[in-house]
Amino acid sequence: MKKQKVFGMLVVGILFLFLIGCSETESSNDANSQTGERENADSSNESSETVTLNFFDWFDEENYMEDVIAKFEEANPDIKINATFVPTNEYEQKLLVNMSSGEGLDVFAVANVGGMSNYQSKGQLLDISDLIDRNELENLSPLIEQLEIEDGLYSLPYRSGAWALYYNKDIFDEAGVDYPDETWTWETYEEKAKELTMKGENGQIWGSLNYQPSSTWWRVPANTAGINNPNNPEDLAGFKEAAKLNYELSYEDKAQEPYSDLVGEAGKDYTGRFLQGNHAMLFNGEWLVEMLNSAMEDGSGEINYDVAPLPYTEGMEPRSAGAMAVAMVSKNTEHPEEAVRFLSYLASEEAGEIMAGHGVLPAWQSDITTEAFVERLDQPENAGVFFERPINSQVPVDDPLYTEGMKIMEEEVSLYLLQEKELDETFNTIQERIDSEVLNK
Amino acid sequence: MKQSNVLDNKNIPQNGNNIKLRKSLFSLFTYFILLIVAVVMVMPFVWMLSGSLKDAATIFQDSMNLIPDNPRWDNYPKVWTSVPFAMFYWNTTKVAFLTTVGTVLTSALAAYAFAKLEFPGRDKIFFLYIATMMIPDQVTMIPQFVLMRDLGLINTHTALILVKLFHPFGVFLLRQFFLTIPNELSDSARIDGCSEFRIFWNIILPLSKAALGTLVIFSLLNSWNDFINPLIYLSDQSLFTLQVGIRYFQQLYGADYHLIMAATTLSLIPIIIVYLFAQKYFIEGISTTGLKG
Amino acid sequence: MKRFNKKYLVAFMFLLPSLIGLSIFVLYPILASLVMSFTNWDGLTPMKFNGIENYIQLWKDETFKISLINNFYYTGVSVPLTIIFSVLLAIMMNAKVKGIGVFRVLYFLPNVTAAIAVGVIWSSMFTKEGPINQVIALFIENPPHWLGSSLWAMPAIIIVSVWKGVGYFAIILLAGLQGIPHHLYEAATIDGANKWKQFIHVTVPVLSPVIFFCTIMAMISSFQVFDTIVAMTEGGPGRATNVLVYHIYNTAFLDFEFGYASAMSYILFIIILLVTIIQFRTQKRWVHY
Repeated sequence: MKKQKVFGMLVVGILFLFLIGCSETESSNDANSQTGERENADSSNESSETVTLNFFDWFDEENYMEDVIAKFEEANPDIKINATFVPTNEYEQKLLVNMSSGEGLDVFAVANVGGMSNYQSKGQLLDISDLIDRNELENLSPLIEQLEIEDGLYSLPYRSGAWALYYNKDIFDEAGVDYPDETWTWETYEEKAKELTMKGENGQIWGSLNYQPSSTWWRVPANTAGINNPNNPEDLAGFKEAAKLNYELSYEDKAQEPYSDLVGEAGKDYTGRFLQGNHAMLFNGEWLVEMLNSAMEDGSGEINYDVAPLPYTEGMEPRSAGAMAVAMVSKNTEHPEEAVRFLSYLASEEAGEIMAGHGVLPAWQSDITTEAFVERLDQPENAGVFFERPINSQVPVDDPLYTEGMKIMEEEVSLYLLQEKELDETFNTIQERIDSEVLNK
Repeated sequence: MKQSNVLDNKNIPQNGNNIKLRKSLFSLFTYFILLIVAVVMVMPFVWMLSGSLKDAATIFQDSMNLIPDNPRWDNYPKVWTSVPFAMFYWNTTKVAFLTTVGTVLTSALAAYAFAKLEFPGRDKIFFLYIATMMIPDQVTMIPQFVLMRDLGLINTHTALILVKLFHPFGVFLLRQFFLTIPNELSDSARIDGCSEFRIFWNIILPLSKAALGTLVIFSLLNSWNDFINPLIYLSDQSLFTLQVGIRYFQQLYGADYHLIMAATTLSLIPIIIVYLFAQKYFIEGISTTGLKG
Repeated sequence: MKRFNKKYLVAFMFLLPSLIGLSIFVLYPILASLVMSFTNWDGLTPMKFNGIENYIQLWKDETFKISLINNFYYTGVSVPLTIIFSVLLAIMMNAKVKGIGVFRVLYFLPNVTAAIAVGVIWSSMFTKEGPINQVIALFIENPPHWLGSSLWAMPAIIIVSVWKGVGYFAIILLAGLQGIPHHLYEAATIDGANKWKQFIHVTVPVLSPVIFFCTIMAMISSFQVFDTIVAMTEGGPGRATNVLVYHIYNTAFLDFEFGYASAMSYILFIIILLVTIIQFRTQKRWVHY
């Protein structure tokens, strides 16, 4: 009966070969998979002394980050950047997943500092205070100061956002309304939105474009008043005003679509809706310029638009709002020196110029970057407005619980905007939920 | 369909035309209802196809008009090139194929041991398999993730295969089937000096084609349509399977329903073709295992 | 003695690949999950045991309760509807009409398509100006906003799940129907029973074990609904369609609260277990073998 034994063992052996073989082919076949990359990294490490850094970024940044990376690799032949661009909606989840795997990523970016303070509180970030060359980053020092938390520095800013008022010139002309200017407050915005709402030749013209109810874009009027943290009861009162303004625009002024029409993925496509040419105004960030222009190049519509300063809060200094995008280094990186070199490059003027050339505002503000941003644009004419006003941060730098508070506010306010809950009830619930689910957890 | 029928009362004496008329009216009614249900079942697919050939302006305006006047075939090439669809196909096929082969092999071997061989603790171990089947996948989801992470398998297809490969259902299904194969066959082969593996491979497996086919279909469908695992494990677009790909496309083209419908159509074509060709196995597999389970 | 050992060895060889895999990728995770549910682990910082803290916390967690209630609502409506429709459909399909094979293929089609694709298709049909509301608008003035309304979002999800599930269970039930011995109907007819009485006194009792099986299967899978929710509502509006598995996924992979999410997954397991046990207990009353 020896045969049997041999046979049995053979089967098991084959099966294990199959299993192991399968996982091996997996990792070597998928050139982009993590394991594959790591193997590549290790082998190339031995042969030519190049270091491969895994860089994670969200999908919207792909087209200019690729240029930035190419430039960086050219100047630093000893470093290779292996970039992964993750679909935007899933980005934060993927970051955590890959971060937790320890060796998965070296450098990564987030769109706002809320994520940064969260990861820092979980002990995932490298303190770079002593690793960066502060002289070289002189231009950014006011921003860097803001980013220092708990006596350490864990991130560098590379992009600064700035919101503005976008408007469709043709609709303004048709309605005989003067173009918006720097004197506009949110009251003016509401008033003019009402005026601009009309029955046009091709159907309804809306004075203002609103976003899907399950978003927090409605909060921007509060941001211009320096309000940014729902976990702070005083700020919550300011958010309440902003929510009310958006509610009124839709249901009392009838200058915005009812929110129930904007549920789901459809409501998120503000570019496409603005390009249809039946919305007079919207407030949005500087990135919309690039999105509108490239969508028009692709033939997805044609509108005649311009930008004006974001309306401000009556009785306060006129300020715009924006969120700083930051990049950081994982605590687990095996190549801290190289990672910081890449990080510093992302924040540098040279990278800033490339980004500005793609229509995003770099953190590094200088004549060169401003020119790169403004110069190449035929439309909008007044692209300079993005640089004119001081900017309130939309996100608190030092609250790791910010994201959780925002999520609650988003959920509850969406019900208010869908006319399912009253304003007071909504904000009482938010306060209660933040107290019990975020602050006293 | 050869078995007896509730409504086909052959053996009942028929009293003239009245009953005949009632009978044919009744079957007309049945037919009518069946047809309506069929329309309800198929309508969403027709709407999807029709929408995929319209444009953003017309998709909702004349949604009753199911055959578009100017079909926009170029929606399809547009979808095909805007995300790496070919890659999604390949990834999904690869994962589903490897998962299925692995599941069938390991399950068949184990099922043979449970059904035809004797060893101490057999029934206890089998009970363990059954008990495991009762536990929802969500219970294992988080530790599986930690395990894959520690094995460095995040963002690989291997993780997707491994989490599906050892589901005890296959063992259960095949064991039940193997039990119905009479022992005389294997006993006589054993007397002839055949090894257990030969018996398994040359006698039992060929006799179990129906059950194996069912398991193949179950496993293939299950892996092909898996959404939550690729969602958890994959970050890199070039590794995406169709299901996460379609979700990704939905997010990318929020309001362009015509393009989303074209993408969805593309994602469904392979499985629908396979289903139409092998529908007999699908349906019979489901109805038999359904009953035995 | 020696021979016996060899026999066992061969058997274990057959079993081994499956058993090893099961132990590593299924059994170990089941236990690990239980252990994790007594910790506050976030997957990143060191694990700390906190006793039954998570389970106490769950008791107070409003969102968890809401997801639980939503899930019971979903189960309570979708399962009976699915079962009733599939029984009716199975009886219809059992009729000897031409082209019944084609019907079977069509009815089963929704079941082979991925839930995510199904969700995408239906969410485009449930839009305000979508085909569903165009039909409804012929009869009532203000059709509901479906996915844009806390009241109607869950019914929309339920409609989709019934549509997807009915064909599957109808086919299982059909196989059961075809196994009913003909003489039972003959006897009933001789006793003067009409079609309805035949249905109540013959079909339902004989079919009851299959209906019972289908109900359990439908219940278990209704507690695991996820893909459709992601594609159609993402748990919204507000928390109106936030169901158990969706909440577990978010807690585990968005908030990275592994310990807490594991506790939730065990609650899910206990619910499924209880539902199954209750069904088995009560089956004596209505299931006839």
